[in-house]
Amino acid sequence: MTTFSDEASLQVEIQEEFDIISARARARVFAEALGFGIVDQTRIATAVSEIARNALIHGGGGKMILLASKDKKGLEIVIVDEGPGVPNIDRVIGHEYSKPGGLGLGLAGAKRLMDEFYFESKPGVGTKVTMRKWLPSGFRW
Amino acid sequence: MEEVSRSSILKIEDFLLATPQEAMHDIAAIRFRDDILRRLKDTKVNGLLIDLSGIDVVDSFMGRTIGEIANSANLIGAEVAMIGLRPDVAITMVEMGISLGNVYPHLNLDLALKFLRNQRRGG
Repeated sequence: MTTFSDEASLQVEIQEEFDIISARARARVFAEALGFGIVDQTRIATAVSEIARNALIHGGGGKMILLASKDKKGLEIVIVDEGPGVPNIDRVIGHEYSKPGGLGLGLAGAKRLMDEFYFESKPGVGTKVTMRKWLPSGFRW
Repeated sequence: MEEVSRSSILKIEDFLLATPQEAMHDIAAIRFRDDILRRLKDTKVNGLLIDLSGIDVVDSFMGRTIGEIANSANLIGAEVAMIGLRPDVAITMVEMGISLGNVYPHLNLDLALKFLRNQRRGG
């Protein structure tokens, strides 16, 4: 079981549009420092862009936490907001929210770009998205 | 945070060369779209060339905005060519299922200009 270290962590506030750009830039640099290649860096930055935008637009703002796994084999990104929450994730990923400007296209796309993707949302409490990406096997430190 | 737009829209031959810059948030992207369409109308050029070499993330919003620029420019009567898409960005877009609409991608500026000149002659 891989654990994620608090030691190598970074927190970024998402309170305005420009913060989306800061969040994805930070995630890219963090991924690069862990040894991810350029394509994975871009996948990670793009997934962060989608989820950070959701947190801002649908969640009223939130924060991103970047964590490196203790065995240094990957990274975890947690993006949380305290917005109204979403009642049903299947309806989000499905067509109901998947129109331009909707929640679904970005979520589904971000999920495809990452290795693990967990979406937790409680009405009235907020939304938490946890995404993980692993370094390609055979990678040496 | 205060930021300066480094995106540019330049006229070259009978075309507009539009170059969005890396740190473009959503409102800036929409402003860029509107600026391009206004310039297309004002300058009466025949084509639009979008240079994406400064862009390191095309997410669903940016993809949709570029698609809107291309489709709107088409409707006004301009052909749209694109250059400079980074390979890592292209891979990510394909994996996400993002497409850009009526855009003709080219490997470099020479080929894109040649394409637009031919379109102009054909029209």
